Amino acid sequence: MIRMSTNVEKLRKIAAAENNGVVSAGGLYARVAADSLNSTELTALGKLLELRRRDMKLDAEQLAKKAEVDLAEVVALERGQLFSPEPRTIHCLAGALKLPSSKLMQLAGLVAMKDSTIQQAAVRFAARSEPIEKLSPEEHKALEEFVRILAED
Amino acid sequence: MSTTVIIFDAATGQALEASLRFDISQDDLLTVESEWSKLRLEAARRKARECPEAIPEHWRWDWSRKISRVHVLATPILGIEYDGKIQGLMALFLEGFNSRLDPDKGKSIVYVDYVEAAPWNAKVLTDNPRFNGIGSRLLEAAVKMSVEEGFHGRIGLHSLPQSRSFYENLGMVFVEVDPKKEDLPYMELQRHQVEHFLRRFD
Repeated sequence: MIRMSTNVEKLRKIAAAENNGVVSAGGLYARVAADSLNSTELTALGKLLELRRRDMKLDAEQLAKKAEVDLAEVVALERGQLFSPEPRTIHCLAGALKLPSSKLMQLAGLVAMKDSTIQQAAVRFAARSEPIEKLSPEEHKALEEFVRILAED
Repeated sequence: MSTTVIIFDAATGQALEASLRFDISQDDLLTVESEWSKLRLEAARRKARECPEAIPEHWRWDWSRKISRVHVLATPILGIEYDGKIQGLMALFLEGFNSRLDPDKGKSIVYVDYVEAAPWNAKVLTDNPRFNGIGSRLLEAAVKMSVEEGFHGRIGLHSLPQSRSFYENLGMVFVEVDPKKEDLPYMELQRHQVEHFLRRFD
């Protein structure tokens, strides 16, 4: 068993230097995204794909055909349940839905998330959109806003 | 299994006797994550509005993902507990990592896989932090465990960019930006710095 210091004066100095600053060490986003089973980004990605598809008046089958990807993958992605999608799948879906592929890759956890704007937008988007039959005006607005942020350079 | 460890009340500076626990359980990790993740996310959202650069970089961490490592000898998880709550956590690897710096290049180190102070103890996450010194005490424990393992106090870690100055102030050396680890700064405490490091504590 290790013996921790009991020298209050020295420890006080060290604590003063630490000053409640950030002490985190470990990993950033990509690793967490890769081993997180229910990340906000995957939820946001699923909602985004679903709303965008519905906004373009496609059903899941039509989208799968258009993007030349497996229907099961589309469905799992939309439900936020496909934890390690193939880059190709994301790329093809991005093309079919006219969304920027590289940003979708970030949401899917396939490349490191570099842009906190996207994360924040994803959090807001995931919180605002609910799966209902027809896009509500709020959903439509949320979708438009998220797509606009994704389109920014 | 635990030992007494002194931390400080951030508001009054009063020294407090906390407990350094070596027996963090799965329940502890689940409790921690259910409390901390909400606070991290709230803070991240707040910062996104006020000051996006200050978003805590670890806001998506999830300690419950470490559950499989609980009670594995080579991968201990330590926590500082006070007032019935975990105030900070650290996950270590005691095997499989080596120094990247001469003259001890290739020799075993303790690798600090994760460190985090509870969200209520970090200024970036709260305006009124409660306890101070959590990070330093966890690092002291890591170095002392390295001594105990026969690694002469050598440790290594990947700091988040926001924490780099904290580790530099403790005498750790920046080794490289590590492309294999999300371009995070990799840092080490070398053997010849250990004595100086420990003198600041004891």
